[in-house]
Amino acid sequence: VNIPRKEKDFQGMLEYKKDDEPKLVKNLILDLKPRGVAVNLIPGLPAYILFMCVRHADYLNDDQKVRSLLTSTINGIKKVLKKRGDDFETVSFWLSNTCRFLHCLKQYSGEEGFMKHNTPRQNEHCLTNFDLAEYRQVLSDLAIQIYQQLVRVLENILQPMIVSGMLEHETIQGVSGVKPTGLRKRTSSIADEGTYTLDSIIRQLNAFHSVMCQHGMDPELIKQVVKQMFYIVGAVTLNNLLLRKDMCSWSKGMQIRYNVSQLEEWLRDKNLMNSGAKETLEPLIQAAQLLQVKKKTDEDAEAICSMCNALTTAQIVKVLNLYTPVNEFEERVLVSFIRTIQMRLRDRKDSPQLLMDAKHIFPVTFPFNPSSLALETIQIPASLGLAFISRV
Amino acid sequence: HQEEGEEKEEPGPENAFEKSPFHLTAEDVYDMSYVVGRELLTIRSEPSRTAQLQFKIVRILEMLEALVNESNLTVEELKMERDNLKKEVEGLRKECPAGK
Repeated sequence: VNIPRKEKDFQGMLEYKKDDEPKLVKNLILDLKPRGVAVNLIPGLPAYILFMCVRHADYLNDDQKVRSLLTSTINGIKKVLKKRGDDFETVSFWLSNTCRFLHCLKQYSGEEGFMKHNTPRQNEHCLTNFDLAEYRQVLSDLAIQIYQQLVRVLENILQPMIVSGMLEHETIQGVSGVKPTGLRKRTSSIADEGTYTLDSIIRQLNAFHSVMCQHGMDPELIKQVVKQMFYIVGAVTLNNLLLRKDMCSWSKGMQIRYNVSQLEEWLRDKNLMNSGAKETLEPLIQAAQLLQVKKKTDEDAEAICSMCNALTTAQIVKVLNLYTPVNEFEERVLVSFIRTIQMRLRDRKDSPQLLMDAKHIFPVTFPFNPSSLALETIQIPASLGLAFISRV
Repeated sequence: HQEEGEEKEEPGPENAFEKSPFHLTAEDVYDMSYVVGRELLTIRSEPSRTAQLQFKIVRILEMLEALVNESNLTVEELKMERDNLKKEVEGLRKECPAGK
């Protein structure tokens, strides 16, 4: 008969010999795969283990051990990101774990402001000897750096898909005058005939989102990543619209609005409507509307000026200039109409900016996200290869 | 503190449970691990007993991972062996077309 061991035997600390520190860093950071049984079942496990090691060094009042462990941890994470920094999974994994480690250092700092959601047992687990506020600052800077790296990686993956999937590929058949060159599309292949579709983009967004969820990334952080991804999609699409004559037609406007609605649907699906991601598409949405509205009378001009508040005058004028009628029922935009628009927008104090900065990164924040996990219940799974550390 | 609510299940990770055990890959085991872990998180009534269960499941999944990897490797080896033998047979047949 299995008699359950009393967990109160353990205090939620982990002990290792000083000589084993390099081995600890190697197995827990350098060689750890971002996908595996243990880290998938308990997201953030490496961070919890590291923090429990810090706790024991704090308990021993061994400042040298604390300092050495924290330094090796930070250097270890930097090393992994240098080596595999172009792999989305690796970067997402270490962003999640760096944040979790930071949350642990706060949650168990002993500072009242961070203890509000703790259980009494968790409060007993606070550090007693050292104030690690300075290390928290270093870790927070590291997290910012990892976040920026994550954005670069996902940007590199998304970039080649955007123009093809958002603008060139035709999802709605028969609206544009141009006949698609013979190829019919199957609904769900990564890219048909080597070109990306809106489907490829959505599938890529799914893949990113699913990886971040599996890593237990803070929901608030996931929202920021998604907002950033949507910004990239919107900015690259709009910039191409502003550079290509063949993209400024009534039917392209239709196409873009359809594609945007699919992206919104995705946000709704993932419960991300409050992430601010949708708002980043506003300039693109307005440009698409601009392609579709009437562009003739003074009333039309007035409507355009009140509608396009997220576009600069330069962008509005550019779209009107590039506008190409697709069929005989439409007409070119007259120069006089464009003049009217320019006159009306003269008092607007906006930037002369034409293209959006597609490389812009919104500043990231890491709101404190305490965990309900009980440190004294954590065991060390065998697959981590950490048999040389022991529970205390 | 981070209730995600029970939204729609991700079509991805849940799929692993539908598979035939003989088509399982280590990746499927990781997906199962994630799904089970997420569900364990929603049981809060007795944290310490849940945790014990949690680490037993980790162990089971570690074992499953090892078995899946091992058996996939064995299958791979056997397939290569079979293909080599097939080639050898064909070679021999060509050498003596009479067949006997």
